[in-house]
Amino acid sequence: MENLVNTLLPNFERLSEEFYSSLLDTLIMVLVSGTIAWVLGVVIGVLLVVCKKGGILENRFVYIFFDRAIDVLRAIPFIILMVLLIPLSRAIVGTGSGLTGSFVALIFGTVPFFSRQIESVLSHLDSGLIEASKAMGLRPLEIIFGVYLRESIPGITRVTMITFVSFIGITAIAGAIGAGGIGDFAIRYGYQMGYRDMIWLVVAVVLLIISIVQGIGKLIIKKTTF
Amino acid sequence: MIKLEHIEKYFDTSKGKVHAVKDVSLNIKQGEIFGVIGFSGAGKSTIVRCINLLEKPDSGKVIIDGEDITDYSDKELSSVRQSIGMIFQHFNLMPSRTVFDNIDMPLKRTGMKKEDRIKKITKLLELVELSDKAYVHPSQLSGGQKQRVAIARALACDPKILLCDEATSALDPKTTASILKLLKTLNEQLKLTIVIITHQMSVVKDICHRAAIMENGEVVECNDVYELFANPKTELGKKFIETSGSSENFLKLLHTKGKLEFIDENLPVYHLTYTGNATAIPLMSRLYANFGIEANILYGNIDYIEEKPFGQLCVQLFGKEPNQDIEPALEFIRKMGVSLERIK
Repeated sequence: MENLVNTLLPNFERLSEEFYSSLLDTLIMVLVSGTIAWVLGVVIGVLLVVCKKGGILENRFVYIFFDRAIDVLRAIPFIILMVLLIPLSRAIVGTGSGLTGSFVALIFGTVPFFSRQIESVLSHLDSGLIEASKAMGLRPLEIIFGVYLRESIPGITRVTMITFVSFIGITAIAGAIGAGGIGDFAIRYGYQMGYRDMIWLVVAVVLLIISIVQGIGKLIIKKTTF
Repeated sequence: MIKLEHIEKYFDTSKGKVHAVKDVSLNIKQGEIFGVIGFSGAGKSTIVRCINLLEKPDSGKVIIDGEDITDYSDKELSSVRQSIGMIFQHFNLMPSRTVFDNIDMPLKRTGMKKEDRIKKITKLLELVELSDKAYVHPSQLSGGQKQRVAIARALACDPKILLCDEATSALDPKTTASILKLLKTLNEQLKLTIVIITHQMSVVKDICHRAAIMENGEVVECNDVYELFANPKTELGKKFIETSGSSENFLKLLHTKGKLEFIDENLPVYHLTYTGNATAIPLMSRLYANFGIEANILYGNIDYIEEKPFGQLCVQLFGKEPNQDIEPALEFIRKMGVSLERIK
């Protein structure tokens, strides 16, 4: 077994410690900013749907604000957005660099894309269900949690999986400019030092993470689609 | 029970403002089944949505049980809506929930204890004859079964009023009949006031006590269903009545073809409508006995609306003698309380 690792990944033994700590950084990035971005994305997606004209909490101002903000943020390439947000990140988490400094940028880079997808999922829900809920006397919050979100679990899971893949992509970019993680590891050893085996290792690990998440997602969709 | 006063409603569409409901006033009595019939776009769906204020009228008043609810806050409306059940053309059941959980939705929020809710739902399922389907999802049910679940859900909070928006339009005739029968039972057993929106005159004929006919946002005619059939006052009323029976086929044939092989084209065709007591008289044999007039029946039907007979005949009349005057016979028919119309 050890022999096999040595033959396939000649640089692994020397770099394993660094690899594991990079992987941990990536997992922290994914868990912390991913969780925050998911919650914010769902909240903003819901706001877009309920505040839209004809929505259950119609509010022109809120709708236009988020609608425009999403358009603007999505138009800026992530690598530029990161640099742009350094001052904001310093104000919120105290630093604009390193692992902690990446959180704000990752959230701003993901939420607009994700909330648009949530909006699309929720607005495809049969409007008759909303009407029936109103006729039953349900209040807006009950409709949001009990109908919009609960009846859209398969759709929300699907767009979460799609967003997760692009999210892994931007954590790698974040890594390349100082946040650490396996993106940074791949650039340093795979690109600058030219260790092909380390690139293959990173690719394999990324594919594994994405497959696991997609497997869980598919299971959830299967269990919640009737 | 339900009073709508001078309701006006406009909609903004891409083609400009549409006047969807024009000065509609209705007074629906406690315990009756009231029908609103019209072609699509007549404004009938809007008017029923004004009753529970899913649509807010631009002007006019909605009065339920003597209480003006037009300007109620959302919170107040939420509790009013619990006492007004509603069912829909496409059932609108929550796909991710079982039949049980669908019916539980309006109950859960009332704060009722779990055991009580289970008892209540079991009873409701018995009422709609779906006791064996409590734990299946709506996707496994047929259309008629889905509508039964929707009815159980609408009745969960013991409403006094049930609104039905084209509730049978997506169902086949046999299922429609069974749903209508259920509605009739609910009306009789629970003294439920039911408002039915439909474009099918047969629905009105089968179970409604009174009905309003709508066209272009206006109520053009509103009467007891029997009266509506016996003496329709508007062209639209007549049209709907024609669609509800098989006389439609004959009249269409007569008007479009112009010439029918089995009809003597030199003779006029009369349409006789007789209601109530007039149906008890053996009219045709009297015509022959008293006037020597023979009748060739081209179309005939007797319907029972609210258990009262309602007959329609299309006949050609001719005497035993050639060129005999049939006017005295026509006079006799009119005297017997039968309305007579020459249609060709």
